[in-house]
Amino acid sequence: MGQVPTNFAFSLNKTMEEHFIRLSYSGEFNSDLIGVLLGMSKGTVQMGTAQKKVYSIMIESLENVVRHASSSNENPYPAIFILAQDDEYHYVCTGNKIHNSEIPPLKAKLEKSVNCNKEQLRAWYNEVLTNGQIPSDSEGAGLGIIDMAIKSQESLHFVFTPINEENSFFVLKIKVKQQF
Amino acid sequence: MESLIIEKTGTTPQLHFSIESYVFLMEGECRPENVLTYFTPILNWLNKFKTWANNQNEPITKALEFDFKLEYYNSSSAKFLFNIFEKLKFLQAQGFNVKMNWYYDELDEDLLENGKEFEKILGLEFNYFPQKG
Repeated sequence: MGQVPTNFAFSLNKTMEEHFIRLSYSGEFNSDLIGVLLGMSKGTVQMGTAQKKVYSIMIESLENVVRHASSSNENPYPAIFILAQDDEYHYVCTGNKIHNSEIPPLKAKLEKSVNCNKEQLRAWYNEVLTNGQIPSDSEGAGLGIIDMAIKSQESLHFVFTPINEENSFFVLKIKVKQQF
Repeated sequence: MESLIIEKTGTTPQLHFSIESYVFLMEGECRPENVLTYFTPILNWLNKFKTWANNQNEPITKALEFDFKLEYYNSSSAKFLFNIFEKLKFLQAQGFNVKMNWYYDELDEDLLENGKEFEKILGLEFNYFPQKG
């Protein structure tokens, strides 16, 4: 049985400072939590175009985590949400456990988003929007990643770290310029 | 036929589709936990409205004002909004005077752009109303 060192809070605080982290949450994710995190983010992001983008990207990325909640909420490796800010960008970052079988289609989609310019992203978005498939609550509409890529106007960053034979930890980082 | 009123919640907008004034308002944030459960009654109501409007003794000449004042909608809702707009397009094709009014925060360039994309895909004219935060 490990111990929680007393100085843990201070060292975590220091780590957060070093990485420009303004808000971080790790633990159980559910839809009520999205509203709570949105409320807390309001004080950290200045009003304006960037704030609208961050707000929207936060919802979209958190909804993705909640959709995976049944596996994400298990220990170890609970899901995580981070909001960070350096001199130039806001960063919305989520991490959650996913089944390895889910990786190839997700990775293909993320890579495609990186290789698209804005017009191509819009065309792709419109194609999915009008394809007549009804969104299911477990999978969403399939528009989330494209929508985040359009709003971010920057490439999405992602990493899949294997945990064991069945699962990996998926991290998605989305940048938003502070000034528009 | 009755007007459709759905009260605002933390994740869904105020909705008031009035068959007295022909003003159809959707205002607020739209990210329902269950999109299908939320939007199905709205789409069904619009289908009923279409039949009702076509069966009036006196043809409806007054404009049907659709006021979309959505501060935010998630990508799952976008599909259903598209379905709603398709129905408005259909009403217009049947000869109704459909006015599609798209309100957006002047700082929210993505929301304006989304309206323009809907307009382009649907071939339904949108009127734009920037709002001060």
